[in-house]
Amino acid sequence: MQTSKSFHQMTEAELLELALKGQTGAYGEIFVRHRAKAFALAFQYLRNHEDAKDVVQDAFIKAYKNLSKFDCHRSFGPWLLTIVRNLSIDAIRRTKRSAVQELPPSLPDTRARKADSTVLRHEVWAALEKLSPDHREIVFLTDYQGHRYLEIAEILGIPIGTVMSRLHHARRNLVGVLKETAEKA
Amino acid sequence: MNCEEIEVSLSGYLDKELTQQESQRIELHLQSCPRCRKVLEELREAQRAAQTLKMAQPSHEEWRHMESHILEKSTRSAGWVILIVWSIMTAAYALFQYAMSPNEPMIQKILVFGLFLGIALLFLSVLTERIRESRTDRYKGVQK
Repeated sequence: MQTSKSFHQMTEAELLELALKGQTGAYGEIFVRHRAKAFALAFQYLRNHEDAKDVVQDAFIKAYKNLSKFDCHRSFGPWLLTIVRNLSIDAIRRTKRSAVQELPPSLPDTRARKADSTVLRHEVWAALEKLSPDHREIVFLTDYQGHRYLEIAEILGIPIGTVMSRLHHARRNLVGVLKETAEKA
Repeated sequence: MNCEEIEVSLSGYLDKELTQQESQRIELHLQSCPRCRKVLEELREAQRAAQTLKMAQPSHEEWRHMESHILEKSTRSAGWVILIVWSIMTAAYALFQYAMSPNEPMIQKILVFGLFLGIALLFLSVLTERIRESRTDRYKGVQK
């Protein structure tokens, strides 16, 4: 099929329709648009670069195989991230891995790191590790990935009211842990 | 609305997820409640902190490799399905033509059909076993 627009100019629905017709290039563009968020979410669960890559690959393959069941006028992102989440949880169960494997590079010396923004990021990672998995994932989806509550409700399979209350408790816990860390330092 | 009810909605207020009416109600409460203002400031602090997170992404080369792997695998499975369906249809058509042919003796037709039936049953049993095993295989994620 001859298309007047190039793939990167197309809407997501147009790309998905072409992918369904067997145009792999269109699915390649879908991959480019969603890969970063998919990888970040998988890494958030698995804390391992290679495992996260594997999960992202499997999720895109699974999504492609089920594309005919997907309503192309819905947003593809939350659906894909639901698959990423499920595959990540399966991978954790399979390997019985605790979620702490590959924290971003080790923390520099405490005294020298007060004004360093990279230190804040390390501290936030460490603080997130102290939250429950439910709280960690909701903070990650909202504040790191910038999803709306409706999308988060779809990804996690929970009502929107639960998203709001869970996020509230998660953020309060995060502040508590960050304060605790600051007092110790 | 009391402080407890307001508190749970503060994250929604911060993320602009509430209706205009709900937001106005919260703003009105915040004007007269230092405790809820403090909670809101804490939530904002948590939000800012989480927004500073940085994560290393795969390199350009890794992305390219992943993309070709995904596209190859996705089209390969479609190819397998087409191949299997077409093979079955071709075999069924050939058998039908053979069965309808008046020149072949009946005993020969029975022997050929028996042979194909055996192969088909064997193929089906292996296929169903493989599908069942792949669903419950605890080691399928283990790299060989």
